[in-house]
Amino acid sequence: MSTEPIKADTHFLRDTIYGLTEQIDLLTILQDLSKKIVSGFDFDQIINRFLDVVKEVVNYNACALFLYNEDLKTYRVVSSRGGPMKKFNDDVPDNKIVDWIIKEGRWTPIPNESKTPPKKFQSILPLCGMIKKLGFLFMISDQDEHCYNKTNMTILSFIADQAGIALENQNLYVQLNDSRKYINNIVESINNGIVAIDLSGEITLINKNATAILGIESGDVIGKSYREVFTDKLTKKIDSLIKKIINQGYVIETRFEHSPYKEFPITIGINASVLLDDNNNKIGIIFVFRDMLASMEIQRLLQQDEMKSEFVSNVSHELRTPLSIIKSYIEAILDQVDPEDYNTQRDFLNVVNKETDRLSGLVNDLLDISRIESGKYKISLTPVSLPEIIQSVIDNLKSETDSHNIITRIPSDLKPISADRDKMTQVFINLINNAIKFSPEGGEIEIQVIIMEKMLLCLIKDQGIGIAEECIPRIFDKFYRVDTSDTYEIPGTGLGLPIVKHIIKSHGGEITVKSELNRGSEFILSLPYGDSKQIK
Amino acid sequence: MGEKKTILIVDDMPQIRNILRFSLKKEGYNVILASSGRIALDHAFDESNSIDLILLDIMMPKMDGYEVMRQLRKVDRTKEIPIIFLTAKAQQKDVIKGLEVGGNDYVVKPYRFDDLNKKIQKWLG
Repeated sequence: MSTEPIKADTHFLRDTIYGLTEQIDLLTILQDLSKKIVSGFDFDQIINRFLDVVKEVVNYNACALFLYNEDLKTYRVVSSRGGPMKKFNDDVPDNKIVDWIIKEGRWTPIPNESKTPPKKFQSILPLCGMIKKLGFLFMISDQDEHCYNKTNMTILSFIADQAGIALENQNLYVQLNDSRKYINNIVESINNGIVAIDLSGEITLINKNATAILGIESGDVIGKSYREVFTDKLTKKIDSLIKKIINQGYVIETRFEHSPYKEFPITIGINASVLLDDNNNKIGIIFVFRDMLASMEIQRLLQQDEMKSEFVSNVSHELRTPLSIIKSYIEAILDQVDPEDYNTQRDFLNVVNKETDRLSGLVNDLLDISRIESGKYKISLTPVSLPEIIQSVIDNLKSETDSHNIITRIPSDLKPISADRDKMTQVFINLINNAIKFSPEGGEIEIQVIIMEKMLLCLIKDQGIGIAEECIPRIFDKFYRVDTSDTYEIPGTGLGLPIVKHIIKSHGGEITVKSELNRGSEFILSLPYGDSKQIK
Repeated sequence: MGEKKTILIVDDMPQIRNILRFSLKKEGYNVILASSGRIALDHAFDESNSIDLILLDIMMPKMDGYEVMRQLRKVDRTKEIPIIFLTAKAQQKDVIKGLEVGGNDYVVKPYRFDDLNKKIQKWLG
């Protein structure tokens, strides 16, 4: 065996070992560098470490880190060393060169345009992200090209890759953080209380509104069981709901009287649904608590709105009916009735006359109702004699109907009461007129006044058609007219009783009714009496 | 001129029934009156009556005009009779509802008799 091959082998082995040692050193260096760059999510920190590490490899005099700006569609300097940022921004390396180097993905020297020595070495180190173009590091160094070697190139492209990944991660982290904040803001700003629990009952999320609505005093309840945090009553409620939620997937608007502070019970609505993960596994329950007071207020406003439009529609209907009759009869008189036929003309004009009265009565009632509703319906109290009012009303109505027998039973020692004369007259016109309208001819109508302690009772009783039990609660509603074909023949606006009720109430009194179908009705007024303060 | 046409007037207000009877008779029609939905159906289903057109009020106690209409449209004898709603319910939704349940035409009170008469003539052909 010759020694030559052995010598050669030894050389080879030594070179290989040197090579391996160098590579191990290199790998160690790279690992250290990578650790330095990648740890941390702070943008400036990542960049500074990157520039430090590169400085160790290429001892640059100046450098500028350009990152691609999506909005401006160009590269902008985000950090620089050894020169002001503005200078670099104004002096961007040629776009075509940059694009080419980024496409190539490796550290590349670029031509130096300055003609005056000392000659500077300029190079570009591209930063490549996983998805998109990120940017590059532009470097100027005094050293000549001898630092531009294979080892340094390996090190720098590794560093650049690490920096790219770190910057991309940082960007993702910022985005994630932003969307987390956004969702958090939604949860906190929503007008409802939200509580999420896991399957063991531990609270995993709770917003400020929930602590407010439920009256939870401690802010730090995450991780605690709802059983510790909620009141006993609410815990019981939630316990009973959970089974249903798990089975059915949700519960809707369960009402609950909540009283975290004993003196202020509130009604809350509980909505809940099962919380699912990406694989549709049940991982918890979300509860939404709503203060029902607010929604009841909305409901009330909606109802009021509906009532108002119903009112307008009713008014329109009520006005159209007499108008229609008036117009039809006048048209007939003008176009169809024989000019010589005075009897028919007279009959028709009588109808027109009655309907005109009805129309003006309706307009007056409507004005009263609108004044009542806008709070402008004022009463002026003076001492008035009730028997006088009643008698004058009877006298007026008697001229229209003498077929009813009206009996009054009023104590002779009745003192004046404090009332608005005109409005009290209106009350008795309405009630006595109703008694006449809804009674058969020859029927008896009894008006009785009874003196009680500090109070007067005034009863108006008829033997008329009466009111069905189910209709009684509604007879003081605007436009309500008891729905029978008999009553429809009887004129009325459906506004008389609501006005009467308002007048009596504004005198500090009450009005109620007792009635039996086909037997008659009895309206009972109670008014303050004998209180010296009442009479001024 | 052929045989006299017969019009059924359905309205709970006597003043309206009476003036319509007066005016339509002057125009040469036979007139039958009904003060409620129930009575209107009785007249319409009565085989001795041959009704050519119905003027129907909507707001009536117990059985309203819409219900009368539904009943009439269910029966072969009456389902083809032209029906004109004659009503003080003037909102668009009322008009639409009236036509949806099968009304042929619609006249809002107060109306001009001439207009009503033209519609009657149109539907009587």
